[in-house]
Amino acid sequence: MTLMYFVDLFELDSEAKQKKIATFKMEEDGSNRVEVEGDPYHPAVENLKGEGIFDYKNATPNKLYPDDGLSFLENLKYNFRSGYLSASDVQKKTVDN
Amino acid sequence: MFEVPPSPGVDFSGILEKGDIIETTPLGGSAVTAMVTFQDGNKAIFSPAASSLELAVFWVDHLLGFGLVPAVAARPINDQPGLLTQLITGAKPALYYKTWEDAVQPQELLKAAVFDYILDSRDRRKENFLIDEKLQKLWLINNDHHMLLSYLDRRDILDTAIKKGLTNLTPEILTAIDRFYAGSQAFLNRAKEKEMIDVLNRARERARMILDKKTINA
Repeated sequence: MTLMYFVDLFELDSEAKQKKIATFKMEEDGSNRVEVEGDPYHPAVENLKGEGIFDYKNATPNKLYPDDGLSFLENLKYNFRSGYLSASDVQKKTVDN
Repeated sequence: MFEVPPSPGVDFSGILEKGDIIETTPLGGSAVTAMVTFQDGNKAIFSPAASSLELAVFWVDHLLGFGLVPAVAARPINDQPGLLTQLITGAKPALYYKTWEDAVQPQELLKAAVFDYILDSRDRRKENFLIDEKLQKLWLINNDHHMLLSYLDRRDILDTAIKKGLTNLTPEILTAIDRFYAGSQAFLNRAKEKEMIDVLNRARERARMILDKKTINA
């Protein structure tokens, strides 16, 4: 059993209905790299991989990328905070190896 | 919990404050928790953790007369305090566009750049403004603590305007800034929260600066 951390990313469609576009996940005992489950070519996902996100939690202008693991996950909710695009808090679940 | 500025008298604010709500749909996400639908079909996004700065920024936009910021109002939903923000149907975040700047009118881009200059916006990334392609219009969102008081330095709209040579202010824009400068003191006198006072004082200083220089190219 391994602990997995994950964040869901949502967008609003043209009828203002929310839909999940990706899940960013990281296994506790793994490589510490965040993997993306969902459409890897969605503009929001591509933009994250290319530009990274600010470290809002620590109030610094440093950039974080999927390789930064949990820090990256923790900051997704600040990066996507409008409702047009929004991210969940970091959630946890156990998975079978 | 929320410091409410004097009402700018915009119609949609009245709907947000007092309109009959016919449906509240939970949303996934940390910062926003519900989509609210009003009797007349309009919708709004509910944020329980939003800051009063959003209200102040909406008021600044109203005083300038730019129409760049979706209406915002403090209103509890399901007994939880928070802010309702007008949902802009037909608009989507700029990151959905490869070249968002080609989808808006130059005058709109200049107005938004002036707005961000005055407020010293610091997190204006492509997630934080919307494009209405049909109207060739911009909407500025997430005008919160991260936008106004952080140590960030992302000014996509201002940088794009400067890159396109849209830096000299038209007489109409100068009149709008003058109106903001004259009218904002009364609002500032009524503000109580330190964050709001700091942001408004800074906006007044920066408005004065570009009224003198007549350009946003520092």
